[in-house]
Amino acid sequence: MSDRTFADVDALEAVTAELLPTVPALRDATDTYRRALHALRAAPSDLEVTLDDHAPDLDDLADLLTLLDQLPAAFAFALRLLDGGLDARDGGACRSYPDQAVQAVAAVRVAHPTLSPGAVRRRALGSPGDRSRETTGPSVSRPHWLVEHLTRIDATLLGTRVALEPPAAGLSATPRALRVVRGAGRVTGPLSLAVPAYSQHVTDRDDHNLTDGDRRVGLAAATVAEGLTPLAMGALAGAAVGGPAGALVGIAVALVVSEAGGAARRTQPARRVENRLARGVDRRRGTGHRDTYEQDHGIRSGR
Amino acid sequence: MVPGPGAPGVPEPGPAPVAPRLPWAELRALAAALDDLLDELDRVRLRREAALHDALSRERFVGAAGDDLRDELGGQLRRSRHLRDRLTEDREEVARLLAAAATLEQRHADDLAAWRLARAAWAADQHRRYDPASGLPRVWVERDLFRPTHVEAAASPGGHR
Repeated sequence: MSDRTFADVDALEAVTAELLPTVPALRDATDTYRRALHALRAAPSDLEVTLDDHAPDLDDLADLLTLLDQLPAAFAFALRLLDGGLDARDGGACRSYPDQAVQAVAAVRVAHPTLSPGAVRRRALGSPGDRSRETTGPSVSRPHWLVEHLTRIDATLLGTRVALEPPAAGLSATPRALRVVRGAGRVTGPLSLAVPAYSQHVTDRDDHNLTDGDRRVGLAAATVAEGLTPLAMGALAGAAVGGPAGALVGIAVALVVSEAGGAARRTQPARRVENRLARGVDRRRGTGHRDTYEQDHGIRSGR
Repeated sequence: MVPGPGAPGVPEPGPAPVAPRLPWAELRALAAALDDLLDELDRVRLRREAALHDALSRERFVGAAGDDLRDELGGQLRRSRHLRDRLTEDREEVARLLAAAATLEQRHADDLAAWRLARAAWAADQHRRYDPASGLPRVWVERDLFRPTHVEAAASPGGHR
């Protein structure tokens, strides 16, 4: 494996330009399939219909392809940026740069597409000795994995905010309740996938270096999933018993119960992720110390 | 000879067979949706495979970044092929359901025709046995058994002497 990235940046941009527009057609076909399958399941029938619903897998595939399709252009962006400026195009000539820096810039570019080139550079590479940079130096390991989970978590958090924001004036109780139930489902569903996948990634790749960003994302994801799952479960249970009004009651009960749960609740997914991350750090270093892990909790050794 | 009311005859058929509930429109819509979806999956996969062999190939995109991207994209393409296989199985299942629906519908049509024949035979038998005007057995009507007797006529108010 080369330690430098070397590519034709125009060709990389062309790949993204060609591939990215194909995903909406897949999403449309998936939506049509989902509606048709649900209509068949709901229709009165003397036939036994045992078809599985693959729409969630297709949605997930479309999400990941969208992310992967953006990466070639993000790598091109990184190569241009690191090569001395975005405007200095050279008609498709190949450019090269140390691989870790390219990956770091590309990861930030995909996660934050609206940032200016200067801001991307600062976030990805920081200034010499700057510990706040996201992914750079010898501890970079497969940043697109990090980007994938960051993107998914960003999207689900945005879904929460939309779902839980104050309802529009005049909206009756029924659509309000349904909105909350849908919002909670949108959030906890993807997160319940993202957190185990992330944990597995960390476990599988503990021979690689872990970044501070890796650990922060893992903990944030686990904490968010942990906090929102009771809401969704409460809403769904309430809806099952008492319809939309029951959903609101269920959410209220879940809030009370989860608050009362306190520290006990804190021990589950977030703690598991913490332990896995800490184990990964220990194995990599071949020591029993957890200084890097502890640095994340404010005990910095000055390393 | 007209059979008497107690003589064995054509049995009355049961109720008409009920038409099966067959979601034809929904099945056809799902078949079409699966066909479109399979086409889209093919398009998505073929374009990315072409990119992997061209601009994203090992020769043109050198380095760990390229290796990782190829790994990830290859993994998703394998996943899309796996999904395609399962959706193809579903498409075959929908085709089987359409065939089963056609069979059920044909069976119902056959049952209905047989029931109508049985019903017609029973109706003809009834017509042969009973007088349509009075509803009495034809044997009685032909033998004039239904006329009131003298005793009954005398007993009735305003009866003749």
